[in-house]
Amino acid sequence: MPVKVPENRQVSPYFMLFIIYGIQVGIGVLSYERVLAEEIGNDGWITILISGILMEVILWMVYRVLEKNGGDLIDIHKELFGKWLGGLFSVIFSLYFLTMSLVVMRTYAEIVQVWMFPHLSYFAIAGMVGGTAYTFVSGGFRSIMGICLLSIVYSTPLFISLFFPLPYVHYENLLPMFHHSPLAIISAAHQMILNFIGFEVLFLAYPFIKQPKKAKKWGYYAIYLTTMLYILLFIITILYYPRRQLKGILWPTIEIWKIVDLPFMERFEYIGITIWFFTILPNIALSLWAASRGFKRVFNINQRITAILMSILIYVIGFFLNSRDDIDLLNAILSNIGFGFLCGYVPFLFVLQSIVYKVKKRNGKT
Amino acid sequence: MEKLKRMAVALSSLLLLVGCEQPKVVDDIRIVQALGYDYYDESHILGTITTPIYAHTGGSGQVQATADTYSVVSHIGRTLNTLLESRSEFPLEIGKLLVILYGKDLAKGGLFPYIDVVNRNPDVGRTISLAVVDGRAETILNHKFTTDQLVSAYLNDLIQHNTKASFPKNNLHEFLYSYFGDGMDPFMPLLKLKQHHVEIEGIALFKGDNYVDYLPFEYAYPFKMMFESFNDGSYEVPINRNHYMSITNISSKVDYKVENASSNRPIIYINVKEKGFLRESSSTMQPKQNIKEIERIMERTLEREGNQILEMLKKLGVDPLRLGDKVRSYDRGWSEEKWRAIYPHVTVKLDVRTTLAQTGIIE
Repeated sequence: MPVKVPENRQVSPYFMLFIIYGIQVGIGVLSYERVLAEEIGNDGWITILISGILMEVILWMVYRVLEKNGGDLIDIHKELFGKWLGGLFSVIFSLYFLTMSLVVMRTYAEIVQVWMFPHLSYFAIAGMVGGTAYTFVSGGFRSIMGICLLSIVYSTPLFISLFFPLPYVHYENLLPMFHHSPLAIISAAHQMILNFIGFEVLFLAYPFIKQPKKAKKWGYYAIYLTTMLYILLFIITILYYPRRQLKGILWPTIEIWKIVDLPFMERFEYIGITIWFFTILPNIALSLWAASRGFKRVFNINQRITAILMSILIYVIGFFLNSRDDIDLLNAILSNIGFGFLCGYVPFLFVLQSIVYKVKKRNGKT
Repeated sequence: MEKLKRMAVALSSLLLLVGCEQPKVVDDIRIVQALGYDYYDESHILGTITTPIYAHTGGSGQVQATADTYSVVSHIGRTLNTLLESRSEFPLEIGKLLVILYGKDLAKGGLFPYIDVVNRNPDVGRTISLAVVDGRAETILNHKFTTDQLVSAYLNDLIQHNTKASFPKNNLHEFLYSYFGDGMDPFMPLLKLKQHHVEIEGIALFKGDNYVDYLPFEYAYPFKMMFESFNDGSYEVPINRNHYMSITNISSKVDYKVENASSNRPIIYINVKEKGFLRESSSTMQPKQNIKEIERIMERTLEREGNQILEMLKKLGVDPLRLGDKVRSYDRGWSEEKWRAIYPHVTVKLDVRTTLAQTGIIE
């Protein structure tokens, strides 16, 4: 029997937009321009566009897999792989989300340390971030949806900051267009997809959405929105920096805020990074929720207890990752798993499920 | 009750977070507003900083800032901080830096090490002004100017004000852009202390990060017109030997086109369109009748001066106008080495079109 969620814990269809946008836009937005500049430079926007289209296709597959089954990923795993193997896969899936929340929290703590408070210890920052995220998780899925919505509202003022670099843009930087081989453009897409990962959370959140058929279009809109945001930000960055300089900048999006010159404020980065807290909060809350939800569904334990244990776990592990190399490595590992999951495992599930259903149907008929 | 208790725990836990970060009270820090670097000897540099000191002046409530300036000699490659801190009774904070000056002798040997320090510091903004000093940076920073007690604010205002009217746009971001960008070289204003005022002597030209030469201030306007589009410029047209006409409120648009970009003889077309208002002219020359003629004189003068600039830049092999970047945007096979080799022989065609309108209050 697929899982059923009582209606008083479900959310309206359009919240699909906030789930996906909320978990996709996070820590990667601050630095993806550098990665793309290293790989292909001015043609990067084509890569983003291609990745965006690919993600729409993957989202379609996710929808199909979920619709056919009617439950969540745990049900699908059970159906396709049986109780034990399926359960194992589900636990791995949960741990993947746990790593995601760890990466986001640790990277944000590092940014706060580098840019704002060099003397502030990791424990204080992570305690603040993790504690807030946990309160939302313990409030249940609907309160997480609340912070997803608010994060979009709170972060809109940041769009104003994109007007400040405009006097310094150089349109020549986009030329010559299509300068790179199609192969290079596509291989860079591998790097770009990392900024789209996270929407796999749908595998667990799907039963929480009322009238899921109506919600589908909001999912496609969300990925469209993320793609457009990435392209806009990338174009501004590439017009603002020469490529050689961009390659050496760790967080180009934050560096752009340095040009913001307001009469009442000397350093806009402080505002930007503070507002960014609300952008990463849904990231951490949703992935923490997904991790604990996975454990709940597999082992049938209270989600609040797993959530608090998991927050403490990532809080402690985060402390031991203190060099930038560790954080980079962790980011790279997570990105590769995310890439493999989205572009490998999801299509695999899709194909496997349709084969299994076909076989079942044939057996049923005869 | 249960809820209240939980709330109390949550709120009181916030108290634990207080006090982790060192507070910085404005009275207990020194805000560095200007930095100066000078050549000292082969292995040492002279660093100078000025910080404002705000002291109360009796009961008026008005706080007049005075500048405190001091210098240290430091070994090349060492950051100045430690030594400077040893002279300061409060911690130095660099977050409100306005100006950095470099002595000409130091600039000849390459500035990047000194700019990189600032570039890497997350506290420093991107709109600060950089300038080369004809002479020593220390002298300017130690000078007492009558207009403003704070030399840092004075210098920053001087550079920014000129940037609006007739001097090309420049700040730390622009310098870094040209330094890192392919097919371009950076520039800075060149300052000189003349009795009790600092004046902009011209545009200091760099090859990479080495100062090579400068364009005199008279050439700043034609340079700006080729460098960027702008509004609100002003220019004086020489009508004859001792008669000038001042054109104000000029809006200028520059447009680049490149032909034969991938060949060894690219042709670069620079088209400048200017719109301005005629002001301040004496009755010896009737502007109304002669407006077309004044336009022509202005076009010819600007073209002549522009071409002189281009010749000089090509001869020096420096490219502050970013011509190489313009060619790059047309050429897929572009490379910096190839460009540097052909740059001195590149053909640049400058075309200036002017439209003037008359203002003034006497017919």
